[in-house]
Amino acid sequence: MDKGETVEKLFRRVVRALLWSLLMGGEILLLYFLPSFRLYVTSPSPIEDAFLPLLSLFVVIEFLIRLTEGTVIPYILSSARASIMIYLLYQLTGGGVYTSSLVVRGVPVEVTFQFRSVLDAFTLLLLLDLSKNVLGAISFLHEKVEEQLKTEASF
Amino acid sequence: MKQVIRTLTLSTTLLTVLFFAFVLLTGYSLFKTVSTDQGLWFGEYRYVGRENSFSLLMPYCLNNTGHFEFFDVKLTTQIKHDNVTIVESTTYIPKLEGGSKRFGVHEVRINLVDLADAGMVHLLFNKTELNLARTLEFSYAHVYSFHLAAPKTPLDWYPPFHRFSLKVVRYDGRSTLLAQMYFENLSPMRIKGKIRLEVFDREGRLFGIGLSDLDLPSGVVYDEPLKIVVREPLTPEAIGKIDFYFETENRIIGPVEVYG
Repeated sequence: MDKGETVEKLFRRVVRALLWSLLMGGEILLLYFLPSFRLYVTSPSPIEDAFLPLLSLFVVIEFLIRLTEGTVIPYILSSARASIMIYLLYQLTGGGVYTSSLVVRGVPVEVTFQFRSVLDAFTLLLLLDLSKNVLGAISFLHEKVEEQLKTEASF
Repeated sequence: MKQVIRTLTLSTTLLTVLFFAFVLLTGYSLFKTVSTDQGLWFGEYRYVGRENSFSLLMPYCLNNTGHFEFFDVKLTTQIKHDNVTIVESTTYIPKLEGGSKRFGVHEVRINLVDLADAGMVHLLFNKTELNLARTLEFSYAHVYSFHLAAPKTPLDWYPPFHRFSLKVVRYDGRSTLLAQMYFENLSPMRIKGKIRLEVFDREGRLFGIGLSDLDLPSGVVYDEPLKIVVREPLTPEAIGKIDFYFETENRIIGPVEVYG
């Protein structure tokens, strides 16, 4: 493989990773920073504080996962992402209970919003994803070792 | 192994898509209800006077324009004085299906017995300011629950025995004291019952009792003489104190020292 082919392959990989990360939440991040979008969509500060780092982390890891496809790194990154997401989701949302002061039709109202069951369901999905990635990593390494053994045997 | 991973991948993806679809749909549905002009609407309180009580009536409308159900809707009002709850009332709606509407009136009733039970007998005589605390609780789509608390609002309290005064005006020298009783019923309620006055001498011995039926509409002044029958001759100067009781159908409120 010459240098030109390697660069082209790398370029394709980067573009593919960018497209995937755009698809997996990047578009929301881009929209989020558009001034016209922020004019219509405003959220109270604690949600904003939790939402931005979570989404950014998700998109960055997605980019790295797609970039390193064909190695064991995506499995590790996916597992790490699932674990970090579980931790951050519980930390940033106070375990699924969110309290804020909002102005509803001119009256300041203290709102407590509880979404524990949704958070628990999402945690279960993340755990499922984590277990899938652990199994994937084991399978991937197993295949690699088998390939290596086959190559050695053929020599 | 590969089969297991493939199945896990497929099920995780499918469940994630379903999960986000559900979250988005419920969020949109709730937003649709809340953003509707009369999605969750509460009117102004209105006073309605009754016998020895009055009600604060607040109309409400819940218009569930979304696709999911509201559950356990509780509209609670508390009336407090100095952080002591005098009365609490809850309107409960067990279920409100998607696309349905509910009109109703939330009622908070204050009666004289509630005041006595809360140790607030002084409110029968004095103007003051009470606090009105309102909360709304509900569950949505079986997974979200909300608790909304409006800030405490002041509520002017108008007493039924405002500017109460009692003067012993005459003694017949044998068995009857004549007292002049004055008060203004500023409250929205009609006060109906019996007034009882117990007269004690300076040593604390009960000397006489005066009884009078009372039926006074809201906003009317009471200025009537009341006969107190005494057991032994007792001059007005020898009176130690006079206790005031108000007897309703099933309760006696008092004693309140009104003289001495």
